[in-house]
Amino acid sequence: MRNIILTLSATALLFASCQWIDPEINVNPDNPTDVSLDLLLPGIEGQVGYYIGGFDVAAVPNIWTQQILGQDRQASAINGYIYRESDPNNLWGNMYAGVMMDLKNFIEKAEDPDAPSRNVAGVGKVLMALCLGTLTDLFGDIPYSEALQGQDNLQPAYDSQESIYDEIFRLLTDAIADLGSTDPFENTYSIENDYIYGGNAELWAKAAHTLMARYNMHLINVKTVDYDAVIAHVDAGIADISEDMQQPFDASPSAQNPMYQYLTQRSGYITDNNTFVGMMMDDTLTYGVADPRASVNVVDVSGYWTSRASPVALAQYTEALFIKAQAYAHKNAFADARTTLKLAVATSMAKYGVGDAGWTAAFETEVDNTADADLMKLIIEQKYLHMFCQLEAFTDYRLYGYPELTPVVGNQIPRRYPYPTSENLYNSDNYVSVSIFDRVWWDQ
Amino acid sequence: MKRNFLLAISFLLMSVLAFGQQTVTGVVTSAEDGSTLPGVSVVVKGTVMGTTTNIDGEYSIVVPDGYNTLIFSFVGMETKEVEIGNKAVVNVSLEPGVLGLEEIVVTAIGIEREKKALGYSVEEVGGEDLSNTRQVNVVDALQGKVAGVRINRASGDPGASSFIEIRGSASLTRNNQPLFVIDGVPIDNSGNTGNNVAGVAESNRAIDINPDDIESLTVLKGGAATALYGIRAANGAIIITTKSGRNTGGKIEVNFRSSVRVEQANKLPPLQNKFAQGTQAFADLLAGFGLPGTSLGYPDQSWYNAVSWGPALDTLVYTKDPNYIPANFFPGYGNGSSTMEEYIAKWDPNGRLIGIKDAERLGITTTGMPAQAYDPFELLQTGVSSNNYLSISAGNEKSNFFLSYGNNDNQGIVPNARFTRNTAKLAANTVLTEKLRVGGMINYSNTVGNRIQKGSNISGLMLGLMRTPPTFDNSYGYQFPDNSQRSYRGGGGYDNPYWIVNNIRYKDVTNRLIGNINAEYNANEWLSFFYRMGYDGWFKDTKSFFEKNSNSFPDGRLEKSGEYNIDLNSDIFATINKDLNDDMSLRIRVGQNLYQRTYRSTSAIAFGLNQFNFPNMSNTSDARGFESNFRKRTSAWYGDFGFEYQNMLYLNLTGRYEKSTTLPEVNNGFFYPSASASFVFTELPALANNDFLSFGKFRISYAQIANDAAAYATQNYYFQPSPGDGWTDGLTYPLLGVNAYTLGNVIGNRTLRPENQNSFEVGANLIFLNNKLGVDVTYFYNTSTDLLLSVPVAASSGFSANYVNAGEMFTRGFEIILNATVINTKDLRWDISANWSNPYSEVTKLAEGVENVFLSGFTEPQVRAVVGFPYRTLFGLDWARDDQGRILIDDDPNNAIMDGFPFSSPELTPLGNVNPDWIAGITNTITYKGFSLSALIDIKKGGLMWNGTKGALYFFGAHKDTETRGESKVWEGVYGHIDADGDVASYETPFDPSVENKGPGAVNTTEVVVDENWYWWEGEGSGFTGPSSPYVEKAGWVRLRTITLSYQFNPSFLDNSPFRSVELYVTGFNLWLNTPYTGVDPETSLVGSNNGLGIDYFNNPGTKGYTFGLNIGF
Repeated sequence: MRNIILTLSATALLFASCQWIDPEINVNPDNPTDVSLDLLLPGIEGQVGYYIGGFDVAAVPNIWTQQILGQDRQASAINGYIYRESDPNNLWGNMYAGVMMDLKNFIEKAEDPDAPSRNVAGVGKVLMALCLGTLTDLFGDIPYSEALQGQDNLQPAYDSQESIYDEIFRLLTDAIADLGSTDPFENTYSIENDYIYGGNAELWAKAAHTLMARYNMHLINVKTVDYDAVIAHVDAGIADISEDMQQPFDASPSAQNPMYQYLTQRSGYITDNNTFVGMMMDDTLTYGVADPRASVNVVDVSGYWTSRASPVALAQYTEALFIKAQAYAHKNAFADARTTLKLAVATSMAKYGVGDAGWTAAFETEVDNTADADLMKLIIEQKYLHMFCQLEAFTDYRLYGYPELTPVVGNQIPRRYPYPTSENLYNSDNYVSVSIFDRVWWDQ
Repeated sequence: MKRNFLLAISFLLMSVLAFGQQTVTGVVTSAEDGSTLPGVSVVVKGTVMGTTTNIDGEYSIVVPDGYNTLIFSFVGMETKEVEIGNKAVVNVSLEPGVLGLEEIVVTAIGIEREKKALGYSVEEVGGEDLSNTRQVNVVDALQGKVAGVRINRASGDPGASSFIEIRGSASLTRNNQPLFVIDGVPIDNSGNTGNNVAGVAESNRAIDINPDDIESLTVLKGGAATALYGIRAANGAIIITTKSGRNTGGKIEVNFRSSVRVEQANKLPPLQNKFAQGTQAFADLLAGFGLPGTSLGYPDQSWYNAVSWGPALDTLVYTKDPNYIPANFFPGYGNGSSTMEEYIAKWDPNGRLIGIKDAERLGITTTGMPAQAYDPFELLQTGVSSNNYLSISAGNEKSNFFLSYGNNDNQGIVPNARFTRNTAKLAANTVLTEKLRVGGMINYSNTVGNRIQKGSNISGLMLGLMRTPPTFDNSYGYQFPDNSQRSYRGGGGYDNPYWIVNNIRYKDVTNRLIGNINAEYNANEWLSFFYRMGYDGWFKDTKSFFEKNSNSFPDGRLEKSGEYNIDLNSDIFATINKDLNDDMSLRIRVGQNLYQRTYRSTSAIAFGLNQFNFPNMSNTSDARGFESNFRKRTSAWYGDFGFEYQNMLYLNLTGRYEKSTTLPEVNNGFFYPSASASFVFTELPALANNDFLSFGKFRISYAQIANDAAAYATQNYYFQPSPGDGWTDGLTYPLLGVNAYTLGNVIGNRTLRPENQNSFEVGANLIFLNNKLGVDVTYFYNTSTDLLLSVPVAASSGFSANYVNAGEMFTRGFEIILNATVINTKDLRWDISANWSNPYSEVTKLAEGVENVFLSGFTEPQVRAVVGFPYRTLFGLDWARDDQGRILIDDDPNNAIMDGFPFSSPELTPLGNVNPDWIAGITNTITYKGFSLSALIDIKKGGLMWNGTKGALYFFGAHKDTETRGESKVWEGVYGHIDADGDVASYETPFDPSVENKGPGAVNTTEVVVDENWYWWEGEGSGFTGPSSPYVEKAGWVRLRTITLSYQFNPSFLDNSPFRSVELYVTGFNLWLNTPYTGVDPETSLVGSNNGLGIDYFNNPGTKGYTFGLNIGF
């Protein structure tokens, strides 16, 4: 009897222990192993908006262009040109491991031969081009062709900035073609969860053209830029402020604009910079009244780009018009440049919802009275006033040297970011040490 | 089916009970002096039947037919087996043991063994020793008592977690803390184990155990000791045996313990009280407006006035003159201006501060009252705590029970910080038949923590408190009628500490059940079976609330979570105990273990609350729900083979084959063996019975242990994104009504293997002069290989980490235990027990391409694991130095660095080892008649800590050291700077850039003024603006951990009272502390019970105090 019970229990235990170690137990119940494109895109866009519109991209370079004053803690160090390798760590990690890895998966999924969607793939390529452009303009040479391969390549080599630009142009060209596809067999499904354009392929194609114009203009000092092509891209691009490529945010605390969050959660770190404010208030530029944009381009939670629910601009109609004016000026088509500059500034006022007839009239007179040789300075300065909290203001400063700035300390203004500590430590095969005063390839 | 089973069981019981039996009685005495021994355990060999002797040493036991041996055992005496024959009376006298070496200790899986038979080191701490420390947390109660055990309490906050580590560290990133086992059931001791540099000091879950319930505690240190427990005890085990009932002849025993503790902060960072809020830079600015030497502008809540670099207090007076509004005297300065009436109402009843000279010049009437310094530490209070404990137990020779209730209520030194614990325990055992004993234990606890924000947290208590300038009185109010916050930066910046303690609340309530049911079946004199099912379940409810207008969450934030964790543990084993002949005996055990851990949590976070002072989810407009689920199982077969020869040679072999669900299916089973031997050489005829060396033993052991992987690490998963940039809280999904997923940042690994540890130990135990002196020395050497680590990878790979088997490290050290009886007379006894150990852990390998593993800290400094360095080495920025290590003093007028001052190196460098060189505890106990005085001196030699608090307070001009501001100084070092190539260079003539040479220049002789420019505005003189290295400090200590004076009433005195025993005591803890550390008590850790010790950044302070108590037995 006893023996029977013992034997039975032992057998039961043995049996139990076989079932006990079930591999299914080690599948995480909280996280999926695959998700649809419609669930990937909102994550990508929200991240792109937050990182490109946040302190690391929107503010740091523009502390250096003196749109913003860093006055406390880390921001005051940045103001004094102390910017160490550890500073861009989060940005780099967020862009690569956060956004671009998802973008790579996103494009691959959209190009799945069994269920392709060229329109959706095009959206991914536009965003990938934007991410690459943002990173290369800050860091110069960056990993891409060997990057985003996980275990297969843990130390990806760096591509030259020139080849990154080639890749940007390739992605945008492909995107324009993809977004133009209307073949239903090439577009087996569409996406709805798109904060930026609501899945509208036409608008995405326009954004691709505007970015094409932007990134071509970055190469004025290193390549022969086809200005007519740039103008054509602008014309094919975003055609109204209502079509601006922007990531929306919301007043609810978990969806607030990144600069707003910085201003409220890092209270007192940054404030208005007299250089920027002075350009809007200075008599020589204000034509009798203050620049109407002085009330909205402020480092304050009431600002156009810095309030709770402010969007983050990724590409704008106004910017495109400034680019067009630059292109005309480069071509020595100064009359067209003047006309386009006036339109750009008028659009800027419309964008910000401000405007003053007296100021506009005085400004237009100023445009007409400006010598051809000084016109580019005027264009870039106006662009600088418009492109508040945009990386392009820093890019233009490096390309044109406008506005003319006096270094806060020493005798030079930073021109790039150093590679982050994470690259120094974990991609040591390829990492190179650079100074923030070094120049990237196009900045010659 | 069930009924049939019950029938079968009943039948089995009846058949057993039908056996014949006889009754044996007798008296047990001591062989030493012939006195009778009460409480001696008497067991019929081969059965579960047993009893204990009564107060007169008498016993009576029923011996079933077929059994012929009684086993007598008693603490401190040699166990004796006696054949009954056909005697009805068996009287026995027991020989005294040698310093407890015959004592039975509980080892792995609840196996009881004679201490002298063990081939590895174990240490036992009695329940009285633990509860007498009056520590709430059983981990803290072990402080200084056991060799090789390092304990670090996170802070003095009530209920704060404590880190415990045995023999250094064996794992790089996984848990390094021992397994806790209660009455044979492994329990959960999780705590906050992340790099949580903010938040609150949470508890480690061992705090749910009431030390008053503990009968004894055994510390299993090495691999051979814990090998049978398997992977969960890879870092040692703490085996706790709780109190249970005994045979009292049916008499009910009642014990009551009550104590009260008072405590205060034991060490606080020094603050300056000579200079006001404000800045010299501002005064200079005003001087530019023709107001020379002015102090105008002080101390309105303008953005400039985050710091305390203002005018000296002795140049300032208060004014209530309504004409005095700084804005009226300085047109550009309007920020924060208000009428005098408003100012007095809102900011300072004494009026506004003004420079004495300014008042004269401007014709302002002053009150004549000189500026005063407020003490921000006034916030702290005397913490008062109470502990009450009642136990009732009774038993007869068949059954016994034990019932207890404990209540512990701790009020911290910070208002509203409180930790309470209620515990109830019931244990019962009964003998069903002569062969079958069943028992069970259930332990319920309810703990409630009200916790205060700490650390790197703008709502952290000490952060807001210590940055407050001496001229601002936080206590004058923390909230205005419109519910906005009153703080020294006009409500912005950091939270007023009074706001923190009143408006930021964190409460966790944990209900926990720990229990087991067990059955023991003795088939015959040499074969027995044992089964035990253990349950450990805790249910925790947490609510964290930031009121609107907190600086961390201006819209308010509410988080509510419910969690539960259930550990199930099943053990079944068979034991064979057989004497082969007079000289040799065998002990074999084969068993099987199943374990499952299930964790579930559901939580909601709401950003933004509506109504003020109503922390409820219904009062929010933006709440999100989250859940987390975890399950893991292990299964193991194990065997234990023991061989004994002539009480002199002992050999033990174990093996365990284990499977874990967290490993990939192909690698999920693994086997690990252990071997240990001990040789009691004083049993050799040549050495027997010598008076000098009473006992001597060598022991040696070797073991392999493995540790499984973290769960869910074998593949890639998608997560809800939570974009943030390190500066802000960021976004939460669903965003704008749309949900999303992003690929996780850790690469899934299908080739994970278990971590391996090889543990080697050799030791000797010598006892001299008939127990007067005992020495126990152990050397251990453990190597760990295949350590799992989340290896950071370059983000450009698309991931941030790769979880791989890559690391290797070793730990070695000596442990020395010394016991001496200095005086031993009838009335007076003086015992010394001391322990010393120097565990040293070093990392020998990390993954290829990985130079370090981050353990805790910030961007800089960090506690890291780095190859060739001790585990837990601080890395941070240091001053730039030349090849000879001399500090470079900037000689370049063109860079942004202050000329004539040192400057930071660009890269993180090792700043030193966080672990101590050695730790020791020395306990002296003197008893005289009923009095007993016991003192524990706790020594930690060496070990560094980053005093980030000091570095930050330099920036703010709030630290005492900044009182020397304005003094001149020549920095020790050589002229130099970093040239365009990144090399050290210097100018031919310092500060003249015309001729530049490679290498450093001459020794610095430039005198510079050290003032706010250096600390705050331009220079690198603070922890915020400059390197960490100046704030890395030695954090060793010598402290009087506890000193206790107690008085035990003489039993004869109590004869005519209802009391069985009465004891009164007073204990002081941390009354004396000697440390070179300049911050709070260096027994602190920002990250709680995380591996990364060594970081202090506005940690809440430790405490010292007294406990007054009373123990009564009825």
